[in-house]
Amino acid sequence: MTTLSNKEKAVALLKAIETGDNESIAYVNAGNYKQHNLTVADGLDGFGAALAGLADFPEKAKVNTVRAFEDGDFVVCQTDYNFYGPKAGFDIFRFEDGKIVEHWDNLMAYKGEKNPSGRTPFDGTTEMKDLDKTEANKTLVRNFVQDVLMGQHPENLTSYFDGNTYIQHNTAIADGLDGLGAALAAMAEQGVKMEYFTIHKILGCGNFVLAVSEGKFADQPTSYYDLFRVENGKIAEHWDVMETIAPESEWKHQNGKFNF
Amino acid sequence: MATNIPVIKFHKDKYGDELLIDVVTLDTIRASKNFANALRQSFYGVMLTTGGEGDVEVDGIPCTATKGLVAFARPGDVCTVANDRGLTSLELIFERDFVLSFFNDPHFLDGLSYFSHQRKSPYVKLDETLYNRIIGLFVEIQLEISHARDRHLLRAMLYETLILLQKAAPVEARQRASSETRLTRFRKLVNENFMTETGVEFYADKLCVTANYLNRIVRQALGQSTKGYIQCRRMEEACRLLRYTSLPVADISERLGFDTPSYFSRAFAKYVGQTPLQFRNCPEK
Repeated sequence: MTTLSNKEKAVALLKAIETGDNESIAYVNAGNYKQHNLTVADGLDGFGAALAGLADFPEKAKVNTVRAFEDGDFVVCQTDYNFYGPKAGFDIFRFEDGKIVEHWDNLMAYKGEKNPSGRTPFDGTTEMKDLDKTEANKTLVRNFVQDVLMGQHPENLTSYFDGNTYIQHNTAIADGLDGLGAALAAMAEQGVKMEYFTIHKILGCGNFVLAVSEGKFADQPTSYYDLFRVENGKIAEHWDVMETIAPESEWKHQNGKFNF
Repeated sequence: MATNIPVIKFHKDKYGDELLIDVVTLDTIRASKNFANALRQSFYGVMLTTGGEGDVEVDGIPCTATKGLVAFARPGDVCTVANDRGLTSLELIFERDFVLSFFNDPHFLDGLSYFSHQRKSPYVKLDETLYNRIIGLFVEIQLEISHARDRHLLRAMLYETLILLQKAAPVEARQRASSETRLTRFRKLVNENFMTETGVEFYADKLCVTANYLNRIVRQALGQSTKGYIQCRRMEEACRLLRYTSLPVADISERLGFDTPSYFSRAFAKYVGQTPLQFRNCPEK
Protein backbone atom coordinates (compact mmCIF):
# COMPACT_ATOMS: atom_id res chain seq x y z
CA MET A 1 0.00 0.00 0.00
CA THR A 2 1.41 3.37 -1.00
CA THR A 3 1.67 6.01 1.65
CA LEU A 4 0.03 9.27 0.71
CA SER A 5 1.72 12.56 1.49
CA ASN A 6 -0.03 15.01 3.79
CA LYS A 7 -0.79 17.15 0.75
CA GLU A 8 -2.46 14.25 -1.06
CA LYS A 9 -4.50 13.42 2.01
CA ALA A 10 -5.71 17.02 2.35
CA VAL A 11 -6.70 17.22 -1.32
CA ALA A 12 -8.44 13.84 -1.09
CA LEU A 13 -10.37 14.89 2.02
CA LEU A 14 -11.66 18.03 0.29
CA LYS A 15 -12.58 16.05 -2.83
CA ALA A 16 -14.61 13.74 -0.62
CA ILE A 17 -17.05 16.61 -0.12
CA GLU A 18 -17.92 16.21 -3.81
CA THR A 19 -17.61 12.45 -4.21
CA GLY A 20 -18.81 11.28 -0.83
CA ASP A 21 -15.76 9.02 -0.65
CA ASN A 22 -15.85 8.37 3.07
CA GLU A 23 -12.51 6.55 3.11
CA SER A 24 -10.61 9.79 3.25
CA ILE A 25 -12.34 10.66 6.52
CA ALA A 26 -9.77 8.27 7.97
CA TYR A 27 -7.09 10.93 7.38
CA VAL A 28 -8.66 12.98 10.14
CA ASN A 29 -7.76 12.25 13.74
CA ALA A 30 -11.28 11.46 14.88
CA GLY A 31 -10.55 12.05 18.56
CA ASN A 32 -8.68 15.31 18.09
CA TYR A 33 -9.84 17.55 15.26
CA LYS A 34 -9.88 21.24 16.05
CA GLN A 35 -12.08 23.33 13.81
CA HIS A 36 -11.43 27.04 13.17
CA ASN A 37 -14.21 27.65 10.66
CA LEU A 38 -16.42 29.56 13.07
CA THR A 39 -19.70 28.41 11.50
CA VAL A 40 -18.89 24.69 11.67
CA ALA A 41 -19.01 22.87 14.98
CA ASP A 42 -15.79 21.57 16.51
CA GLY A 43 -14.56 18.02 16.01
CA LEU A 44 -15.08 15.48 13.27
CA ASP A 45 -18.77 15.35 14.09
CA GLY A 46 -19.01 19.05 13.24
CA PHE A 47 -17.48 18.39 9.82
CA GLY A 48 -19.92 15.50 9.43
CA ALA A 49 -22.87 17.75 10.26
CA ALA A 50 -21.73 20.28 7.64
CA LEU A 51 -21.55 17.50 5.04
CA ALA A 52 -24.92 16.11 6.03
CA GLY A 53 -26.59 19.43 5.36
CA LEU A 54 -25.34 19.35 1.77
CA ALA A 55 -27.87 16.69 0.82
CA ASP A 56 -30.67 19.24 1.27
CA PHE A 57 -28.88 21.97 -0.68
CA PRO A 58 -30.24 22.37 -4.22
CA GLU A 59 -26.85 22.64 -5.91
CA LYS A 60 -24.49 19.71 -6.20
CA ALA A 61 -21.27 20.07 -4.25
CA LYS A 62 -18.15 20.55 -6.34
CA VAL A 63 -14.55 20.60 -5.16
CA ASN A 64 -11.64 21.31 -7.45
CA THR A 65 -8.38 22.07 -5.66
CA VAL A 66 -6.23 24.14 -8.02
CA ARG A 67 -3.07 24.57 -5.92
CA ALA A 68 -1.77 22.78 -2.84
CA PHE A 69 1.50 22.81 -0.97
CA GLU A 70 3.08 21.66 2.27
CA ASP A 71 5.02 23.73 4.77
CA GLY A 72 6.17 21.65 7.73
CA ASP A 73 3.09 20.11 9.36
CA PHE A 74 0.78 22.43 7.45
CA VAL A 75 -0.93 21.89 4.11
CA VAL A 76 -2.45 24.79 2.16
CA CYS A 77 -5.14 24.16 -0.47
CA GLN A 78 -6.70 26.70 -2.84
CA THR A 79 -10.03 25.43 -4.10
CA ASP A 80 -12.79 26.19 -6.59
CA TYR A 81 -15.88 25.15 -4.62
CA ASN A 82 -19.52 24.67 -4.78
CA PHE A 83 -20.11 24.20 -1.07
CA TYR A 84 -23.50 25.69 -0.24
CA GLY A 85 -23.18 27.76 -3.42
CA PRO A 86 -20.20 28.61 -5.64
CA LYS A 87 -17.19 29.78 -3.65
CA ALA A 88 -13.49 30.46 -3.77
CA GLY A 89 -11.60 29.19 -0.77
CA PHE A 90 -8.37 28.49 0.98
CA ASP A 91 -8.03 25.66 3.50
CA ILE A 92 -5.17 25.04 5.90
CA PHE A 93 -4.72 21.69 7.62
CA ARG A 94 -2.29 20.80 10.38
CA PHE A 95 -1.09 17.23 10.60
CA GLU A 96 0.25 15.23 13.52
CA ASP A 97 1.56 11.71 12.89
CA GLY A 98 0.03 11.67 9.43
CA LYS A 99 -3.44 12.65 10.62
CA ILE A 100 -5.28 15.95 10.34
CA VAL A 101 -5.74 17.53 13.77
CA GLU A 102 -6.65 21.12 12.95
CA HIS A 103 -8.37 23.07 10.16
CA TRP A 104 -8.66 26.72 9.16
CA ASP A 105 -10.32 28.18 6.06
CA ASN A 106 -11.40 31.35 4.33
CA LEU A 107 -14.32 31.30 1.91
CA MET A 108 -16.06 33.83 -0.29
CA ALA A 109 -19.00 33.60 -2.67
CA TYR A 110 -17.83 33.61 -6.27
CA LYS A 111 -20.19 33.44 -9.22
CA GLY A 112 -17.67 33.00 -12.01
CA GLU A 113 -17.19 36.62 -13.03
CA LYS A 114 -13.86 37.75 -14.48
CA ASN A 115 -11.92 40.63 -12.98
CA PRO A 116 -11.02 43.78 -15.03
CA SER A 117 -8.03 41.92 -16.50
CA GLY A 118 -10.14 38.89 -17.41
CA ARG A 119 -8.82 36.67 -14.62
CA THR A 120 -10.53 34.41 -12.08
CA PRO A 121 -9.51 33.73 -8.45
CA PHE A 122 -8.15 30.35 -9.62
CA ASP A 123 -6.41 30.61 -13.00
CA GLY A 124 -2.78 31.57 -13.59
CA THR A 125 0.53 29.95 -12.79
CA THR A 126 0.49 26.62 -10.95
CA GLU A 127 4.09 25.50 -11.44
CA MET A 128 5.92 25.26 -8.13
CA LYS A 129 9.64 25.89 -8.21
CA ASP A 130 12.50 27.57 -6.31
CA LEU A 131 12.08 25.13 -3.42
CA ASP A 132 15.40 26.34 -2.03
CA LYS A 133 14.02 29.88 -1.71
CA THR A 134 11.02 29.15 0.53
CA GLU A 135 12.35 30.96 3.59
CA ALA A 136 13.55 34.00 1.63
CA ASN A 137 10.21 34.25 -0.15
CA LYS A 138 8.26 33.91 3.11
CA THR A 139 10.31 36.74 4.58
CA LEU A 140 9.69 38.85 1.49
CA VAL A 141 5.91 38.35 1.73
CA ARG A 142 5.87 39.03 5.47
CA ASN A 143 7.75 42.28 4.88
CA PHE A 144 5.44 43.21 2.00
CA VAL A 145 2.32 42.71 4.12
CA GLN A 146 3.83 44.77 6.93
CA ASP A 147 5.23 47.55 4.78
CA VAL A 148 2.45 47.91 2.24
CA LEU A 149 -0.80 46.26 3.36
CA MET A 150 -0.39 47.23 7.01
CA GLY A 151 0.89 50.61 5.84
CA GLN A 152 4.07 50.72 7.89
CA HIS A 153 6.26 51.71 4.95
CA PRO A 154 4.20 52.40 1.83
CA GLU A 155 7.21 54.13 0.31
CA ASN A 156 8.81 50.69 -0.12
CA LEU A 157 6.02 49.49 -2.43
CA THR A 158 7.95 49.61 -5.69
CA SER A 159 10.89 47.68 -4.26
CA TYR A 160 8.64 44.60 -4.04
CA PHE A 161 7.73 44.60 -7.73
CA ASP A 162 9.43 44.22 -11.06
CA GLY A 163 8.19 47.48 -12.57
CA ASN A 164 4.48 47.39 -13.28
CA THR A 165 4.40 43.59 -13.58
CA TYR A 166 1.78 42.26 -11.17
CA ILE A 167 -0.70 39.62 -12.28
CA GLN A 168 -3.85 40.20 -10.28
CA HIS A 169 -6.58 37.65 -9.51
CA ASN A 170 -8.54 39.74 -6.99
CA THR A 171 -12.08 39.83 -8.37
CA ALA A 172 -12.26 43.65 -8.42
CA ILE A 173 -8.74 44.76 -9.37
CA ALA A 174 -6.87 44.92 -12.67
CA ASP A 175 -3.27 43.83 -13.31
CA GLY A 176 -0.31 46.03 -12.50
CA LEU A 177 0.42 48.72 -9.99
CA ASP A 178 -1.80 50.96 -12.13
CA GLY A 179 -4.67 48.51 -11.54
CA LEU A 180 -3.97 48.63 -7.82
CA GLY A 181 -3.87 52.44 -7.98
CA ALA A 182 -7.26 52.60 -9.70
CA ALA A 183 -8.76 50.28 -7.08
CA LEU A 184 -7.32 52.32 -4.20
CA ALA A 185 -8.67 55.53 -5.74
CA ALA A 186 -12.13 53.99 -6.17
CA MET A 187 -12.15 52.76 -2.58
CA ALA A 188 -11.04 56.14 -1.27
CA GLU A 189 -13.81 57.78 -3.27
CA GLN A 190 -16.41 55.48 -1.73
CA GLY A 191 -14.92 55.92 1.72
CA VAL A 192 -14.08 52.19 1.89
CA LYS A 193 -11.02 51.37 3.95
CA MET A 194 -9.02 48.15 3.61
CA GLU A 195 -7.08 47.71 6.82
CA TYR A 196 -4.62 44.99 7.82
CA PHE A 197 -3.81 44.83 11.54
CA THR A 198 -2.14 41.48 12.26
CA ILE A 199 -0.31 38.75 10.38
CA HIS A 200 -1.33 35.42 11.90
CA LYS A 201 0.58 32.98 9.71
CA ILE A 202 2.91 32.89 6.74
CA LEU A 203 3.10 29.53 4.94
CA GLY A 204 5.10 28.88 1.83
CA CYS A 205 6.62 26.39 -0.53
CA GLY A 206 9.16 27.63 -3.06
CA ASN A 207 7.65 30.38 -5.18
CA PHE A 208 4.20 30.30 -3.49
CA VAL A 209 3.55 32.02 -0.16
CA LEU A 210 0.25 32.41 1.71
CA ALA A 211 -0.25 35.22 4.23
CA VAL A 212 -3.10 34.89 6.74
CA SER A 213 -3.98 38.29 8.17
CA GLU A 214 -6.70 39.98 10.17
CA GLY A 215 -8.08 43.48 9.77
CA LYS A 216 -11.14 45.37 8.66
CA PHE A 217 -12.69 45.91 5.26
CA ALA A 218 -15.28 48.69 5.08
CA ASP A 219 -15.28 48.66 8.92
CA GLN A 220 -16.20 44.95 9.04
CA PRO A 221 -13.83 42.58 10.89
CA THR A 222 -12.22 40.64 8.07
CA SER A 223 -9.94 37.67 7.57
CA TYR A 224 -7.54 38.04 4.62
CA TYR A 225 -5.89 35.08 2.91
CA ASP A 226 -3.43 36.38 0.31
CA LEU A 227 -1.49 33.96 -1.87
CA PHE A 228 1.52 35.40 -3.68
CA ARG A 229 3.79 33.98 -6.34
CA VAL A 230 7.32 35.28 -6.04
CA GLU A 231 9.64 35.42 -9.03
CA ASN A 232 13.30 36.44 -8.71
CA GLY A 233 12.73 38.09 -5.36
CA LYS A 234 9.76 40.16 -6.59
CA ILE A 235 6.03 39.69 -6.13
CA ALA A 236 4.63 38.60 -9.49
CA GLU A 237 1.10 37.26 -8.97
CA HIS A 238 -1.65 37.46 -6.35
CA TRP A 239 -4.79 35.53 -5.45
CA ASP A 240 -6.94 36.30 -2.44
CA VAL A 241 -10.03 35.44 -0.47
CA MET A 242 -11.57 37.87 1.99
CA GLU A 243 -14.09 36.69 4.54
CA THR A 244 -16.11 38.80 6.94
CA ILE A 245 -15.56 37.32 10.39
CA ALA A 246 -18.89 36.14 11.79
CA PRO A 247 -20.05 37.90 14.97
CA GLU A 248 -19.30 35.98 18.14
CA SER A 249 -22.98 35.26 18.72
CA GLU A 250 -22.89 32.97 15.67
CA TRP A 251 -19.75 31.04 16.56
CA LYS A 252 -20.18 27.28 16.96
CA HIS A 253 -17.06 26.99 19.16
CA GLN A 254 -14.44 29.11 20.88
CA ASN A 255 -11.39 27.95 18.90
CA GLY A 256 -11.06 31.31 17.18
CA LYS A 257 -10.68 32.10 13.49
CA PHE A 258 -6.87 32.13 13.72
CA ASN A 259 -4.92 30.90 16.81
CA PHE A 260 -2.17 29.17 14.84
CA MET B 1 -23.59 75.36 -23.27
CA ALA B 2 -23.06 76.80 -19.81
CA THR B 3 -22.22 80.44 -19.31
CA ASN B 4 -19.32 79.50 -17.11
CA ILE B 5 -16.71 76.78 -17.22
CA PRO B 6 -17.42 74.66 -14.15
CA VAL B 7 -14.68 74.78 -11.56
CA ILE B 8 -13.82 71.73 -9.51
CA LYS B 9 -12.57 72.56 -6.06
CA PHE B 10 -10.24 70.42 -4.02
CA HIS B 11 -12.06 68.03 -1.67
CA LYS B 12 -9.95 69.03 1.31
CA ASP B 13 -11.55 66.96 4.06
CA LYS B 14 -12.13 63.74 2.13
CA TYR B 15 -9.91 61.90 4.64
CA GLY B 16 -11.19 63.71 7.75
CA ASP B 17 -8.57 66.29 8.62
CA GLU B 18 -7.47 68.64 5.86
CA LEU B 19 -5.21 67.06 3.25
CA LEU B 20 -4.22 68.95 0.11
CA ILE B 21 -2.99 66.01 -1.97
CA ASP B 22 -4.88 63.07 -3.48
CA VAL B 23 -4.88 60.55 -6.31
CA VAL B 24 -8.17 60.18 -8.18
CA THR B 25 -9.47 58.46 -11.30
CA LEU B 26 -11.05 60.01 -14.36
CA ASP B 27 -14.38 58.55 -13.22
CA THR B 28 -14.12 60.48 -9.96
CA ILE B 29 -13.56 63.74 -11.81
CA ARG B 30 -16.40 63.03 -14.19
CA ALA B 31 -18.79 62.18 -11.39
CA SER B 32 -17.78 65.13 -9.28
CA LYS B 33 -19.73 67.88 -10.99
CA ASN B 34 -21.89 67.92 -14.10
CA PHE B 35 -18.94 66.88 -16.17
CA ALA B 36 -20.12 68.27 -19.47
CA ASN B 37 -17.45 69.25 -21.88
CA ALA B 38 -14.94 71.38 -20.19
CA LEU B 39 -13.91 72.09 -16.66
CA ARG B 40 -11.29 73.90 -14.69
CA GLN B 41 -9.59 72.60 -11.63
CA SER B 42 -8.74 75.08 -8.92
CA PHE B 43 -5.63 73.00 -8.16
CA TYR B 44 -2.66 71.36 -9.89
CA GLY B 45 -3.22 68.08 -11.71
CA VAL B 46 -0.89 65.46 -13.15
CA MET B 47 -3.03 63.07 -15.19
CA LEU B 48 -1.30 59.82 -16.09
CA THR B 49 -3.01 57.75 -18.76
CA THR B 50 -2.92 54.08 -17.75
CA GLY B 51 -4.84 52.50 -20.62
CA GLY B 52 -7.32 52.90 -23.46
CA GLU B 53 -7.41 55.96 -25.65
CA GLY B 54 -9.09 59.35 -25.67
CA ASP B 55 -8.82 62.88 -26.99
CA VAL B 56 -7.71 65.26 -24.28
CA GLU B 57 -7.31 68.97 -24.46
CA VAL B 58 -5.54 71.21 -21.99
CA ASP B 59 -6.17 74.87 -22.66
CA GLY B 60 -6.99 74.35 -26.30
CA ILE B 61 -3.99 72.13 -27.04
CA PRO B 62 -5.27 68.75 -28.21
CA CYS B 63 -3.54 65.41 -27.75
CA THR B 64 -4.43 61.77 -28.10
CA ALA B 65 -4.00 60.13 -24.74
CA THR B 66 -2.64 56.59 -24.66
CA LYS B 67 -0.83 54.67 -21.95
CA GLY B 68 2.12 56.69 -20.66
CA LEU B 69 0.88 60.12 -21.70
CA VAL B 70 0.88 62.66 -18.88
CA ALA B 71 -1.21 65.84 -19.09
CA PHE B 72 -0.44 68.72 -16.75
CA ALA B 73 -3.10 71.14 -15.59
CA ARG B 74 -2.42 74.31 -13.62
CA PRO B 75 -5.11 76.00 -11.54
CA GLY B 76 -7.45 77.65 -14.03
CA ASP B 77 -6.43 75.62 -17.07
CA VAL B 78 -9.43 74.34 -18.98
CA CYS B 79 -9.39 70.59 -19.54
CA THR B 80 -11.59 68.37 -21.67
CA VAL B 81 -11.74 64.66 -22.41
CA ALA B 82 -13.66 63.54 -25.49
CA ASN B 83 -14.14 60.55 -27.69
CA ASP B 84 -13.27 58.25 -24.82
CA ARG B 85 -12.23 54.80 -26.05
CA GLY B 86 -11.82 52.97 -22.77
CA LEU B 87 -9.55 55.67 -21.42
CA THR B 88 -8.30 55.00 -17.90
CA SER B 89 -6.12 57.32 -15.89
CA LEU B 90 -4.94 58.27 -12.46
CA GLU B 91 -4.64 61.91 -11.58
CA LEU B 92 -2.33 63.19 -8.87
CA ILE B 93 -3.83 66.42 -7.60
CA PHE B 94 -2.57 68.91 -5.07
CA GLU B 95 -2.95 72.47 -3.90
CA ARG B 96 -0.17 74.99 -4.29
CA ASP B 97 -0.08 75.44 -0.51
CA PHE B 98 0.74 71.78 0.02
CA VAL B 99 4.05 72.24 -1.77
CA LEU B 100 4.82 75.79 -0.76
CA SER B 101 4.26 75.24 2.95
CA PHE B 102 7.51 73.33 2.86
CA PHE B 103 9.69 74.70 0.10
CA ASN B 104 10.94 78.14 0.84
CA ASP B 105 10.60 78.91 -2.87
CA PRO B 106 7.33 80.47 -3.96
CA HIS B 107 8.24 79.87 -7.61
CA PHE B 108 9.04 76.20 -7.31
CA LEU B 109 5.99 75.06 -9.25
CA ASP B 110 6.25 77.79 -11.89
CA GLY B 111 9.84 76.72 -12.44
CA LEU B 112 8.81 73.21 -13.51
CA SER B 113 8.92 73.03 -17.28
CA TYR B 114 5.44 71.57 -17.63
CA PHE B 115 3.76 74.04 -15.21
CA SER B 116 5.62 77.13 -16.42
CA HIS B 117 3.60 79.93 -18.00
CA GLN B 118 5.89 79.66 -20.99
CA ARG B 119 5.58 75.91 -21.41
CA LYS B 120 5.58 74.71 -24.98
CA SER B 121 3.29 71.77 -24.27
CA PRO B 122 1.21 70.54 -21.34
CA TYR B 123 2.11 66.93 -22.18
CA VAL B 124 4.96 64.51 -21.75
CA LYS B 125 5.17 60.87 -22.77
CA LEU B 126 6.78 58.41 -20.38
CA ASP B 127 8.87 55.45 -21.50
CA GLU B 128 8.24 52.13 -19.80
CA THR B 129 10.87 52.58 -17.11
CA LEU B 130 9.66 56.01 -16.10
CA TYR B 131 6.01 54.93 -16.35
CA ASN B 132 6.69 52.11 -13.91
CA ARG B 133 8.49 54.46 -11.56
CA ILE B 134 5.73 57.08 -11.67
CA ILE B 135 2.84 54.64 -11.29
CA GLY B 136 4.71 53.13 -8.33
CA LEU B 137 5.01 56.56 -6.74
CA PHE B 138 1.31 57.27 -7.33
CA VAL B 139 0.36 54.07 -5.50
CA GLU B 140 2.86 54.74 -2.72
CA ILE B 141 1.21 58.14 -2.27
CA GLN B 142 -2.22 56.49 -2.20
CA LEU B 143 -1.10 53.97 0.39
CA GLU B 144 0.46 56.68 2.54
CA ILE B 145 -2.78 58.69 2.29
CA SER B 146 -4.81 55.67 3.35
CA HIS B 147 -2.57 54.97 6.35
CA ALA B 148 -0.34 57.38 8.25
CA ARG B 149 -0.86 60.49 6.05
CA ASP B 150 2.59 61.75 6.98
CA ARG B 151 2.70 65.17 5.27
CA HIS B 152 6.47 65.18 5.02
CA LEU B 153 6.59 61.76 3.40
CA LEU B 154 3.78 62.71 1.03
CA ARG B 155 5.56 65.91 0.10
CA ALA B 156 8.79 64.00 -0.49
CA MET B 157 6.94 61.57 -2.78
CA LEU B 158 5.27 64.44 -4.63
CA TYR B 159 8.61 66.18 -4.98
CA GLU B 160 10.22 63.05 -6.40
CA THR B 161 7.31 62.62 -8.82
CA LEU B 162 7.46 66.21 -10.06
CA ILE B 163 11.20 66.17 -10.58
CA LEU B 164 11.16 62.80 -12.34
CA LEU B 165 8.40 64.04 -14.64
CA GLN B 166 10.53 67.00 -15.55
CA LYS B 167 13.17 64.57 -16.80
CA ALA B 168 10.58 63.22 -19.19
CA ALA B 169 9.78 66.60 -20.70
CA PRO B 170 11.08 66.24 -24.23
CA VAL B 171 11.13 69.79 -25.55
CA GLU B 172 11.19 72.29 -22.74
CA ALA B 173 14.29 74.06 -21.61
CA ARG B 174 15.81 73.12 -18.31
CA GLN B 175 14.97 75.00 -15.15
CA ARG B 176 15.72 78.68 -15.42
CA ALA B 177 18.65 80.28 -13.71
CA SER B 178 18.06 82.31 -10.57
CA SER B 179 18.85 85.56 -12.42
CA GLU B 180 15.47 85.13 -14.05
CA THR B 181 13.47 85.12 -10.85
CA ARG B 182 12.27 88.67 -11.48
CA LEU B 183 10.93 87.53 -14.81
CA THR B 184 9.26 84.56 -13.16
CA ARG B 185 7.66 86.87 -10.62
CA PHE B 186 6.49 89.10 -13.44
CA ARG B 187 4.83 86.20 -15.21
CA LYS B 188 3.16 85.14 -12.01
CA LEU B 189 1.95 88.68 -11.33
CA VAL B 190 0.50 88.86 -14.83
CA ASN B 191 -1.21 85.54 -14.36
CA GLU B 192 -2.81 86.75 -11.16
CA ASN B 193 -3.75 90.26 -12.29
CA PHE B 194 -4.21 90.37 -16.05
CA MET B 195 -7.99 90.69 -15.79
CA THR B 196 -7.82 93.94 -13.86
CA GLU B 197 -4.34 95.36 -14.47
CA THR B 198 -3.28 95.99 -18.03
CA GLY B 199 -0.71 98.77 -17.54
CA VAL B 200 3.05 98.18 -17.45
CA GLU B 201 3.46 100.61 -14.51
CA PHE B 202 1.48 98.40 -12.16
CA TYR B 203 3.81 95.45 -12.70
CA ALA B 204 6.98 97.57 -12.65
CA ASP B 205 5.89 99.02 -9.29
CA LYS B 206 5.19 95.61 -7.84
CA LEU B 207 8.61 94.40 -8.92
CA CYS B 208 10.36 97.58 -7.71
CA VAL B 209 11.85 98.35 -11.14
CA THR B 210 11.19 101.05 -13.73
CA ALA B 211 8.86 100.42 -16.64
CA ASN B 212 11.81 100.82 -19.01
CA TYR B 213 13.85 98.19 -17.20
CA LEU B 214 10.92 95.80 -17.11
CA ASN B 215 10.39 96.30 -20.83
CA ARG B 216 14.02 95.51 -21.46
CA ILE B 217 14.16 92.22 -19.51
CA VAL B 218 10.81 91.07 -20.86
CA ARG B 219 11.83 91.78 -24.44
CA GLN B 220 15.16 90.10 -23.90
CA ALA B 221 13.71 86.93 -22.44
CA LEU B 222 10.36 86.66 -24.15
CA GLY B 223 10.91 88.56 -27.39
CA GLN B 224 7.92 90.83 -26.95
CA SER B 225 6.95 94.00 -25.13
CA THR B 226 5.55 93.95 -21.62
CA LYS B 227 2.26 95.33 -22.88
CA GLY B 228 2.18 92.72 -25.64
CA TYR B 229 2.79 89.94 -23.14
CA ILE B 230 -0.05 91.10 -20.88
CA GLN B 231 -2.30 91.44 -23.91
CA CYS B 232 -1.46 87.85 -24.95
CA ARG B 233 -2.44 86.58 -21.54
CA ARG B 234 -5.80 88.39 -21.76
CA MET B 235 -6.39 87.03 -25.22
CA GLU B 236 -5.59 83.49 -24.12
CA GLU B 237 -8.30 83.85 -21.51
CA ALA B 238 -10.64 85.33 -24.08
CA CYS B 239 -10.07 82.25 -26.26
CA ARG B 240 -10.88 79.98 -23.34
CA LEU B 241 -14.08 81.83 -22.51
CA LEU B 242 -15.17 81.89 -26.15
CA ARG B 243 -14.40 78.25 -26.65
CA TYR B 244 -15.76 76.81 -23.45
CA THR B 245 -18.62 79.11 -22.44
CA SER B 246 -21.59 80.71 -24.12
CA LEU B 247 -20.98 84.10 -22.46
CA PRO B 248 -21.87 86.97 -24.82
CA VAL B 249 -18.86 88.72 -26.34
CA ALA B 250 -19.80 91.92 -24.51
CA ASP B 251 -19.60 90.13 -21.16
CA ILE B 252 -16.23 88.62 -22.01
CA SER B 253 -15.00 92.02 -23.05
CA GLU B 254 -16.11 93.51 -19.75
CA ARG B 255 -14.73 90.63 -17.73
CA LEU B 256 -11.30 91.10 -19.27
CA GLY B 257 -11.33 94.83 -18.58
CA PHE B 258 -11.78 96.20 -22.13
CA ASP B 259 -13.45 99.59 -22.39
CA THR B 260 -15.85 98.64 -25.17
CA PRO B 261 -16.79 95.38 -26.91
CA SER B 262 -15.77 96.85 -30.27
CA TYR B 263 -12.30 97.65 -28.98
CA PHE B 264 -12.09 94.10 -27.61
CA SER B 265 -13.21 92.67 -30.97
CA ARG B 266 -10.59 94.66 -32.89
CA ALA B 267 -7.82 93.71 -30.45
CA PHE B 268 -8.93 90.08 -30.53
CA ALA B 269 -8.98 90.00 -34.32
CA LYS B 270 -5.50 91.47 -34.44
CA TYR B 271 -4.24 88.82 -32.03
CA VAL B 272 -6.08 85.74 -33.31
CA GLY B 273 -6.82 86.64 -36.93
CA GLN B 274 -10.53 86.06 -36.46
CA THR B 275 -13.28 88.05 -34.79
CA PRO B 276 -14.51 86.68 -31.45
CA LEU B 277 -17.67 85.30 -33.06
CA GLN B 278 -15.78 83.72 -35.93
CA PHE B 279 -13.43 82.11 -33.41
CA ARG B 280 -16.33 80.82 -31.33
CA ASN B 281 -18.09 79.31 -34.33
CA CYS B 282 -15.00 77.88 -35.95
CA PRO B 283 -11.79 78.18 -33.96
CA GLU B 284 -8.79 77.78 -36.19
CA LYS B 285 -6.29 77.62 -33.39
